[in-house]
Amino acid sequence: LCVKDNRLSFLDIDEICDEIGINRHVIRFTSTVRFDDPGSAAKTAEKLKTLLAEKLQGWSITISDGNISVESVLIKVEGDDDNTKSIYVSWTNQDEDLGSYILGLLQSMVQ
Amino acid sequence: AVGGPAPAPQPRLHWSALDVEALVRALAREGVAEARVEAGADGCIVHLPRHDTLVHVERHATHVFCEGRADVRQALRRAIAACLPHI
Repeated sequence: LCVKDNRLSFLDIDEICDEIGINRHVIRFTSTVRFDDPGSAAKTAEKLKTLLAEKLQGWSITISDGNISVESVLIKVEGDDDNTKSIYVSWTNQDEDLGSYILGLLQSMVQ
Repeated sequence: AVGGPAPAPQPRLHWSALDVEALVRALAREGVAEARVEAGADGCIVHLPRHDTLVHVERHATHVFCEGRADVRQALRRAIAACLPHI
């Protein structure tokens, strides 16, 4: 919340950086989880989205081209059909709580 | 009931460029030693082979690729935060 042009405005973090003239330094973490799940990567991504929707009620979860997004957390599934999939989980430092929660969830799922 | 973690506290805003030598010293203070720095075209890569971790440092971004150990990640977060101005 800031005063801009004599009005109170809500700005997101990138707009704030532009306003005050600083170069934001974005910190992102990525970890990988291996998951034995025969079938296409898209099918595995759909299963993960269902799991996340159950565990993260109230959060907006989207899927596009097989990539799942929750806030700044991105989940990407790669791997051939009938092979082990690599699930890449990536999040910005600001979303550490959410990112580490999702990573922990996926790690416990594959154990 | 809303599931998942509680909403995160006020996010920290970091700015400026990361001093890689300072990062290596901060990592050593956190017990994350044996860092190997390799210069690249668009920044540099800090290898942490004992922790199976790579830190790709660019002027306005740092990307950590780590194998999911929370204690290592928290040490990396503290070390990076120690080397960047933030609010």
